[in-house]
Amino acid sequence: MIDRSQWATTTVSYFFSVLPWQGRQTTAPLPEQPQPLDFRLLSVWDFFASITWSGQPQLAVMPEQGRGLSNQMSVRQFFSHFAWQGVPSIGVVPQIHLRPAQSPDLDISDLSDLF
Amino acid sequence: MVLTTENSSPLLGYSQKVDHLLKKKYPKRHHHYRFSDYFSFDSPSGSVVDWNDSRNIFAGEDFIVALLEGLEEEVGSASSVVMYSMGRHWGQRDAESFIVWFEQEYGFSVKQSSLSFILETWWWPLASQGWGNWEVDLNEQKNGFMFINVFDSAVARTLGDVGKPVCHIYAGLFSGFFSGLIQKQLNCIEIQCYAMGETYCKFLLGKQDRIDAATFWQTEGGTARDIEKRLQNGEYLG
Repeated sequence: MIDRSQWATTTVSYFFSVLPWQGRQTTAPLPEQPQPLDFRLLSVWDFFASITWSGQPQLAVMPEQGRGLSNQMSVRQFFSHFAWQGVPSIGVVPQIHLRPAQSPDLDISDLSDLF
Repeated sequence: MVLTTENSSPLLGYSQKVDHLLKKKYPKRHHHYRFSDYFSFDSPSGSVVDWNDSRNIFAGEDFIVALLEGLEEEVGSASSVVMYSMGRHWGQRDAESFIVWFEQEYGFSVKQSSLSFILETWWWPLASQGWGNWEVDLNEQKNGFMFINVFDSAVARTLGDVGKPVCHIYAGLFSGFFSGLIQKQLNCIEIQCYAMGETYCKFLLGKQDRIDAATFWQTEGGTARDIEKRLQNGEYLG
């Protein structure tokens, strides 16, 4: 997981590749001073639900130097802080290593036990 | 709506198997459920194959109407039973082939996988084929039944508002598939239908006693909400 201060210089593909898209708990170490609402730990659903899609930020949030990115910012402000000119590896599909479910999700045995 | 055959018929004169071009290029591509990815159209032979190398045909609304009206003309009110039975047989056979296919596709068995992943993987080809989108509601799992919501049912959408449930083939399909998946006898009934003026179709899946109870309440004029409440309160027949 990359530090927030490095987001502005991180490539788009790397930034999105380390987000917990499957909603599972990340095993990567948290930053030394974890933020209460660190959106990197949110599920995809919670993350997109908290973004101000109307473009009208609920708070007049201005990014602080080296910190700034918040999911309370407008979409324009948020995406303007990425290093869009990074290494051109746009659209690369990350390698997904499928493995059996290890989370407490329901499986077929649970479904069978219902009936 | 798309119908799938088990394999290409030699009677149609095709001596060669039609390849799915995208699959031939990317055989391990799991995300292949867009319409343009799932189907491969072979213009010279006029055939359509899907990702699983099954021959498909496209059937319009006229086909659905003709099938249902023709059946009703032949067997009357038993047409719903016939459609349910067709769906059930389909679902049972689909469950058998799906379990084998799943292990080949992903390298682990269905017993090792998350339930939601299994169900969505099973339904995605059907959605691509035009059978509609679905949503599995497991909130009542502790009470021994579950709901399945279907949006854009091919049958209901075709028939329009006729004032009664019409998606019997879907009910049979769910009954057959889930029975095959968990190896227990399950039944299914449609308790809410787009063809009754609702916005989506709702199916109840469970053991025979719960389905019998729901059927009785439905014939007595109970709505889907009434049926849901009664089941939650533990009211069953017998």
